[in-house]
Amino acid sequence: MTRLALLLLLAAGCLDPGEPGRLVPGTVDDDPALPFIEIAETKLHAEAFGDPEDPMIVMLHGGPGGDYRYLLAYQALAADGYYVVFWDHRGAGLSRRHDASSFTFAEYLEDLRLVIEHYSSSPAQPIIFIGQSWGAMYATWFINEHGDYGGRVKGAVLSEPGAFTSDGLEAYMAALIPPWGWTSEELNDLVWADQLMSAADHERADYMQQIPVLAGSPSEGNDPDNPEPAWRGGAVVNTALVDLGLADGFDWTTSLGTFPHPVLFLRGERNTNMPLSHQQELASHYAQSSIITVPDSGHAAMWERSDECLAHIRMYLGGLP
Amino acid sequence: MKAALLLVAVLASTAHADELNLANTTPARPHIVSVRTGLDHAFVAEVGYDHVFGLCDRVVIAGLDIAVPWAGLDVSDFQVGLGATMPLLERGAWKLLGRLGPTLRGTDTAAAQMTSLGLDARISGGYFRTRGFAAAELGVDWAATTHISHADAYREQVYPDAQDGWYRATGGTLRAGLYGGVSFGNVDAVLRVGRPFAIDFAEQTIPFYVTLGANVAL
Repeated sequence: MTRLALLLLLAAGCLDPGEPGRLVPGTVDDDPALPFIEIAETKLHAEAFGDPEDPMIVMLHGGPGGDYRYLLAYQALAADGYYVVFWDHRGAGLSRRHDASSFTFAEYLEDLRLVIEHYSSSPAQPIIFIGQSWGAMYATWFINEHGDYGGRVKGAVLSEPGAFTSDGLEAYMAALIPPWGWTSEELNDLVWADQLMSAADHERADYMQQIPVLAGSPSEGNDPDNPEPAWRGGAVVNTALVDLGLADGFDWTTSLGTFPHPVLFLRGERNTNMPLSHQQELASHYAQSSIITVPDSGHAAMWERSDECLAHIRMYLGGLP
Repeated sequence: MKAALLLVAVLASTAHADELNLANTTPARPHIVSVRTGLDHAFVAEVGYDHVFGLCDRVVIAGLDIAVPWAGLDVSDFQVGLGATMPLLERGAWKLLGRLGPTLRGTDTAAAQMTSLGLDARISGGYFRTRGFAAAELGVDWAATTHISHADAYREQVYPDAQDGWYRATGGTLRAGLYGGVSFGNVDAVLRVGRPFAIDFAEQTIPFYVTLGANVAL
C-alpha cells in the first residue's frame, strides 16, 4: 500500500505529457508567434514569400500530416518572380488539430482552393503547384477535380506521388508497411512503446508518430546522414485521411488527360519502393508529362538535392506559357 | 472485502504471477518457475519465479517475471514485474482471482529512451481442475510515470526544446482475454489470448496478444 501511495504521489508531481510544448512544439493555437491564416473553421500555419502580385506557387508538403519545414529552400523562387505560398494542411504540422471524425475528403480538397483564394491578388493570377509525396497527390486531386481552375493553374511539379487511386494506395502501402522486417528492432520499439505511452491526446499521438518516422524507411532510399527535418507530424489526420481514402475509394485520374499543361515529375534514384515504372504509370494519366530522376537521392529528393531540384524546377517554369 | 484487504496487504511485499492452475497450486510445492513466449506487444520471451505460501487459509502466489522482446534483441527494451495473485472467491473448482503489482518497463527508440513505473492489476475467473483449467481475464497495466530522455536525432531533426523528465500517467494497456491449459503432474502448458487496448480504449499497434507458456512447480 505504501508503494502504491508513493507511486501515485510521484505521478502527481510529474510533467503533463499533454501540455503543449513539452514533447512536441505547440501549434498555431498554442504559439502566438507562429504565422497563420484562417479558413473554413480552421487555423493553418502558413506564410508566403515574394510579391503577392506575382504568379503564385503553392507548395504542398508530404504526409498526410507532415509539414513544410523541409521545403523552405524553395522560397528562393520568390527571387525569380513568384509568390511562394507555404502552408501546413488541416490537422498537420503546426496547424490546428481536429478530431478524427471531423475530416472529410470534400472539406480537405476545398481547403486547398480556399488557401489559393486567400493568397490570390486577382482572379486571374496564375498558379503552379509544387507538391512532394502526399502533396503531389493533393495537387493531382485538385487538378482532377478543378482542371486548370478557370485557366489559372499553369502547371505542376510532382515529386514522388504515392498513388492517384485507392487501389494504387493500397498496393503502395502494402509494399511500404512495415518499412522494416517483422522481427526488426525498429518494429520492436514501435510496438513495445505502446505500453509506456498511449496516443490519448494530439501531443502524445504526434510524439509517438516520430518513433517510426525517425527510424526511417530503408526502401525509400533516403540519406540517413541527411534526414529531412520536421516540426511536428499530425498523427490523427494521417490515419483519418488514409482510412477515408481506403474506405470510400478514390480515383483522381478520371480527368487528368484533359489538363492542358505539361507536368514535371521528379523522383529519387534510390527509391526502390517507387521505381521509375511506378512514376511512369502515374505520369501517363496526364496528357503531357516528363520525368526527371534525381541521382543519388531517395523519396526525400526535394530535401536531399534541393539545389538540383530547384534547377529542374526553374527550367520547367521557364518553359511554361 | 476481507480477501481484497488481504491482497492489498500482500502487496506491501510485491508480485507478479503468470497463469497458473490454481487447482494444483499448493505451499507443499512452493517454487514455480515459468517460461512464456509469443506475441504480446512484440515477440516476447519471459521467465518468472513465483513463491506459493499460505496466508489466512488462502493460497497466495507472489513472484517476479522478466520479459524482453526477442526479435531484434535489445535489452534496453524490457519489462520487470512483481506481483501477487490470490483467490478472492472460491466455489469448488470455480475461482475468482485478483492480481496486483508494480511494473518497470523500458524502451530505447529513435525518438527517446523511456522508462516507466506502473501498476498492473488484473481480475480473472475460471474453472480449475487438476488436469486442466480455463479462465477469462480483465486487466489494466497503467504507466503511472515515465521518464523520457529525448534522443539527439529528435532534438536535431524535430524539436530542440523537447523537455526531458518524469511525465505522469503517460498511458498503459487495458486487457481482455482468455487463458487456459492442461496440467501433467507438476507441469502446466498454458495458452493465453486476448485483445489489448490503449488506456483511452483506442486500438494498439498490434491488436491482439497470444502467448504459449509452461509452469513447473517444484
